[in-house]
Amino acid sequence: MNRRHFVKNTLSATLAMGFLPNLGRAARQELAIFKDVVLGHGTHQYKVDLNWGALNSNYYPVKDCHEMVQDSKGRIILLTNETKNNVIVYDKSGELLEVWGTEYPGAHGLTLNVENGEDFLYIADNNRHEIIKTTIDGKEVMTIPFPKMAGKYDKAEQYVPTETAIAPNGDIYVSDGYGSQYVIHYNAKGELQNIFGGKGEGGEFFDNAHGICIDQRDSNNPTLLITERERNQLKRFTLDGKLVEIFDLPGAYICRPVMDDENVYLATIWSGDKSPNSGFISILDKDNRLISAPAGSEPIYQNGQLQPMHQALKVFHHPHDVCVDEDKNLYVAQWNSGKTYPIKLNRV
Amino acid sequence: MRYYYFLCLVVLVSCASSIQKVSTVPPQNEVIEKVGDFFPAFQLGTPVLKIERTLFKEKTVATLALRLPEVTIRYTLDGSEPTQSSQPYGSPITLTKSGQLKAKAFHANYQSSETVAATFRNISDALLVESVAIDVPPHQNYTGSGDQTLIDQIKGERNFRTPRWMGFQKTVTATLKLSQAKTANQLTVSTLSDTDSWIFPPASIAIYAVNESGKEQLLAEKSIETPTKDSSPMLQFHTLRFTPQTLSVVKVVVKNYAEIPEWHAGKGTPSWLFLDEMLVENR
Repeated sequence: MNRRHFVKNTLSATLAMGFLPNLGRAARQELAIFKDVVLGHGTHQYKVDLNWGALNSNYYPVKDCHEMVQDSKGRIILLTNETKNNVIVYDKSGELLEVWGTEYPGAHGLTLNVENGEDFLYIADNNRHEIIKTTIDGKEVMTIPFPKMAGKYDKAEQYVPTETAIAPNGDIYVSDGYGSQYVIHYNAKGELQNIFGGKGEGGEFFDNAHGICIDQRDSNNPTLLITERERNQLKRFTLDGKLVEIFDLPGAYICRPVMDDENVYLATIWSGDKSPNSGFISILDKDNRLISAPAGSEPIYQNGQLQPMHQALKVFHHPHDVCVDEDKNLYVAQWNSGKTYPIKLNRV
Repeated sequence: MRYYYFLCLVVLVSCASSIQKVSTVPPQNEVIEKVGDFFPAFQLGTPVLKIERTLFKEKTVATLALRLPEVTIRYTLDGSEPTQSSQPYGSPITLTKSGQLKAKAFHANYQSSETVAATFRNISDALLVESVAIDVPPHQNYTGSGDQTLIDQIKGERNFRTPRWMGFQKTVTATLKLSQAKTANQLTVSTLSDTDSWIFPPASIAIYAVNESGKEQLLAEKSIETPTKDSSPMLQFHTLRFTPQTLSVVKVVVKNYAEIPEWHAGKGTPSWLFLDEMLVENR
């Protein structure tokens, strides 16, 4: 289903349920059309481009649009679990440049790392239960299978990796967000170094360790930021796996942390009580406080506690990742959203 | 044969370069259309409705929120759909009677929200239940706060992973012992329907009066509608009415589906039954 059909269906469903009571021509004109709506709060506000990246789904279909990154040439790379074209490469205006990849049925996590001047991609495939490292044009250079040698897994099915993060020294961290909740640490060659986390009730354990990234805002002391989606928390760990601190984002089911300058961007797949289609975007400042929530409620702190977040406008269904370009525009990939293409938010 | 080699070569070459260049692909612009032309404005998010205590004896308090500037939330308490002329929400609403609250958000620039609704019950007519015995243990992950969960007069919320809910994959028979013999005319079983989480309402409920010699008499029974693919998750009260009776012990049989229905991804496996409360009332 392409976006046009999806929106039409939404419209007819809305009409059928009586949500447009007697909207006359005059009343209709008072409503703000999509492109005029400004989302977000404070320093981080955006206009919406719903048509960005829309393709002919007969030729370039998507299923879940899981993650997006920008490469060194400025291109926007989308990962979908549609095996007709797992990777779709756009320019920033949303024009299609190329597609590749047919063997990643569980294409979920996409991380870009520059190694000796060359871009490499790390794909976390939650169906194949492994990590695949490719060149920027899709040649596979390394596969990291399920970490049997870590002693925590009996079989591959217990390992359902959702994300990778690459440290400055090339070490690879994998979060097993849909599996046994461990974070697995390898060196650049894919040799096991450490394993931590797992299921449990304490702060050092996880219930859906969905995303992971390297936080280099303190350049002398890089750390890991790991999202724990079910508990609406962002957790900081040392590179050797010790819990440092926890940031509560009540009502925000955050997918993966994305670092850009001093900010952390997080696609928020559900809000509040996890109602369907209740997602928004969360943006944190240098102290990891929520400062803007495009399509979400105004962030309010009382006595240092963020008040529970909820969706304010139905712009998104289930945002799954945010990509930030050099002009600070956002590209939002969505899970389970009617096979629609990403949405762009232009910074204002 | 030469042709065959040629074909292999072509296949090899095209495999080696798995990238499809855009120049070779059909035009795509005919599908793209300006979305705003026929559906001009975003819809508001659904207001957040919280009720302090869904089951209460004197009063409870409802709050509504949608943190977006210039939004008006309007609500009704008579079961009707909120409109532009319904009561606007200003501050927390005190509720004293059983009923239903429906609310909807309005804004000059956006489509009005979906309606949010919740039921709440004054249970001052509920008879005191001294003890409850359940014939099957709940699943180890969903034990609630023990069997007392069913008679603590506290309603669970949409999140079923809390001590308010007991989860079963079998038919449940609960025997309620009232603190003293009293007249009653209805019994309510409170359940959750959340088919995305493989949780279904009961297939049916039957209640029996049990006399001192242990003899059982059927008071009422009821089949519950099976949810469809499109059903939203909801908290449910299933009330069975009967001719007023003096009761001291009541047996409640809450029948689980043996198998999840055909349309569901979990078809053929046992469904989950989540119980949080049983109320014996005279009203």
